[in-house]
Amino acid sequence: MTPSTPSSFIPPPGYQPVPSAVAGISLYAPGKAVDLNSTPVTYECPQCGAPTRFEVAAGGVACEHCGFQAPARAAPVGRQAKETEFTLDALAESRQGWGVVRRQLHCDACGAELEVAENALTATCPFCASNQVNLRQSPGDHLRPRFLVPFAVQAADCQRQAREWLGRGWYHPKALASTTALQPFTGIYLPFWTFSAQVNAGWRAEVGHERIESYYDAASKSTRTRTRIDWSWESGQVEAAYRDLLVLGSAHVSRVLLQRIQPFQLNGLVTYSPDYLAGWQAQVYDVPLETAWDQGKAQMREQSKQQCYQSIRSSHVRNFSMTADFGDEAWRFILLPVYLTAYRFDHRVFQVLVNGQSGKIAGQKPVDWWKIWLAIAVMLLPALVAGLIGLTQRADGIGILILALGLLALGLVGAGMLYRRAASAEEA
Amino acid sequence: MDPNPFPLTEISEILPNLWKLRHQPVGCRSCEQAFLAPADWIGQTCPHCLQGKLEAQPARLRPEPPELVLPFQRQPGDLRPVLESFTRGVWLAPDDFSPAILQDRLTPCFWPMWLVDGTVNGAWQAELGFDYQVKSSQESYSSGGWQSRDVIETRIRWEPRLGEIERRYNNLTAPAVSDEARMTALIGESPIEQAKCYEPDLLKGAALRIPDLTSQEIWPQAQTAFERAAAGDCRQAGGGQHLRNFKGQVKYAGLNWTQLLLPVYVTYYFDDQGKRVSVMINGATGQVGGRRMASQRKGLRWAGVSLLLAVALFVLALVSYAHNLAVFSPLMWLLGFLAAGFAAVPAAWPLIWNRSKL
Repeated sequence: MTPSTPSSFIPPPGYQPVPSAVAGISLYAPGKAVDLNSTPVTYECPQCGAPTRFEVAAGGVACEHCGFQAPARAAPVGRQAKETEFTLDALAESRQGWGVVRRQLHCDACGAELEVAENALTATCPFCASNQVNLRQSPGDHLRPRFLVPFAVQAADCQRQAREWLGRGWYHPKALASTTALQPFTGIYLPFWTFSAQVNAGWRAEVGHERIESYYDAASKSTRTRTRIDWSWESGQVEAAYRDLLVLGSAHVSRVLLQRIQPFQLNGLVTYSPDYLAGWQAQVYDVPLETAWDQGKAQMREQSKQQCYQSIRSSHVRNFSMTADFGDEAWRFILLPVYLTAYRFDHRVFQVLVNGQSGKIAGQKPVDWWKIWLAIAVMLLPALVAGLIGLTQRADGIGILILALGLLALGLVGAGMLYRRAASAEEA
Repeated sequence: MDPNPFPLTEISEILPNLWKLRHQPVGCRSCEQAFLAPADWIGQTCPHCLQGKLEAQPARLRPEPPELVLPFQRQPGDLRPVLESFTRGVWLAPDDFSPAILQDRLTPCFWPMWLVDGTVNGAWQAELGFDYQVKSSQESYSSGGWQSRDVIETRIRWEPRLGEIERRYNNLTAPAVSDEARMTALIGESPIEQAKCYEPDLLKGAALRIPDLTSQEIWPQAQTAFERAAAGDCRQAGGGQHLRNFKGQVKYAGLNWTQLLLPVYVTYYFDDQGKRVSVMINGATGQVGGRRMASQRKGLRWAGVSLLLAVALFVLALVSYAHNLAVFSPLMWLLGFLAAGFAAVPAAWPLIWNRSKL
């Protein structure tokens, strides 16, 4: 309902009329900018019509046929990238998931029908090689990716780096670097949640303070000292600020390997642009916001607990309890660049990941376990030999036996560390 | 804003049988307030200042009667409990400060407020606040395990809005007497939504105070009332729960000023100097307001009694000392000191109390 008399009222630019609940009052609100970044896009060269893709070296969309290049349309934002509060609306939207509405995809370039993975955000048509971005519609405006870190490492570099990495390590098969058929690296933008919060923690515990007291020992008829612990209830407060804690939004990638290729420098965040995704794979989250936040919160509270312990001026603590009040919680949904590949060795498949921003590599590598067992045997051998010598020396061999025990302890520690390292090399 | 928004009815000289009342215009030289009162009020104490006497005098009034009257909803006979409550708790109160006396002296009056109608037309802008809820959490650790509790907080999201308004508002209130704020502070707001259309019978036996603020003088406050009403409507129009930084570039048209009469009982008691101290009672709600004074004279009287007692005790102490009553003498001496010290309490109390009630 607008006022009855015509007037010269002109709303400022960017304002749009909105419904009014009261007769005689008209309303204008700032219009919401149409976000072209969330609409499906097919990348074709404007010069020759060939498919275009994001090229790391060019820093933008490029055509490999005619050499056309265009910089990616995005702005660097870094850690200043806008965060979102945990509104009930956003949480409800997150629970809806991304759906499967576009599982069957029609290629706008050649008309072919494609099957795309449920969580894929991009696709390349196998018939015409056109690259398509924004295949899925976010469940809400809050939950589409708004920021990403672009790829800074080229796939060819990853291949070379992986060869070097495969050749490293004495307990891996020697033939690994030379004979392995390494699949080409696939660049993929993985979904991540970032979380920030202020935690005010209050703790209460019984804290023991050591006190040295003198006493008369009737047996030795002398004054001796002993340590006593005086227990008392104490309490305190700890404030901790957490910024940009990363939690993976995909359940299909090895968290162990992802952890090893971190950190990602979030100073490199840019506003989301489909240009970066052209010709690359990208996934949307399948770990909902609430689930990811539970994981992030668990990490924050454990760190806060450690800080509480550190604030206690004693190592004797019992009946510890604490409360952690979370405030200023905020999150972002971002995409981070990762190269993935796999190789077969000895009829087994091993994964390799490379941080697409820093080039840090991690992956599974087969282990020649006989080398490990041999090394462990070598580590324990000195203890065995020393023990035997000590036993043959009878009374004079006590010192050697003690040395043997020491060597055994050292050998066991070394063996355990070696075993753990070797086991983790195969772990995913 | 429109600089001259007053197409008003002119103020006229008093007319016979004005507003179908048999009241006469009277005034008080002491406080210079004018009233319409029944003829038998001439010569009586002014219900406003309680100092001067009412005299017949010409007054200027609008020819049109008040639009609304809030009738007396509390009768004088019903006011005893509220007066008892009002007078209770004042130590060393003047003898005249009693519920019975206050009730006997109740005088019914009406005090006016301006009612203004008008159309607001123009552009507006403001920030609208929309409530939204966020989920926070509180984590507790004890006995080796964590427990989580969700905390829902409501926050406000502010968004700019602007637009046009063309709305008519009726019966917005503005003060018509210069001491309206003091009156409201004393006896509270009146339920003006219960006001009735003017009828002469509703004013029977009561005096009517004549406005001492003209509509021109009170226009800034009326304008504020318009803006407040318009801001409320704009908030409602946008569906927001809050509004701030409201600004309007509006014109006011079709302004119409009338009066609303609010009921009040005026009564009084005499202080130590024989001066009347006013007590007012809201005729609709029964809320009582006024200074509750303690009597300095009464306090001094009690102080004198206490001092006399002290002197008597000192004499007794001396006498008992002379008669070798070794135990009795110090006791009398001590009690005498206590009585003398106590004399300061009633002497100082009225001063302290009255200052705190200023």
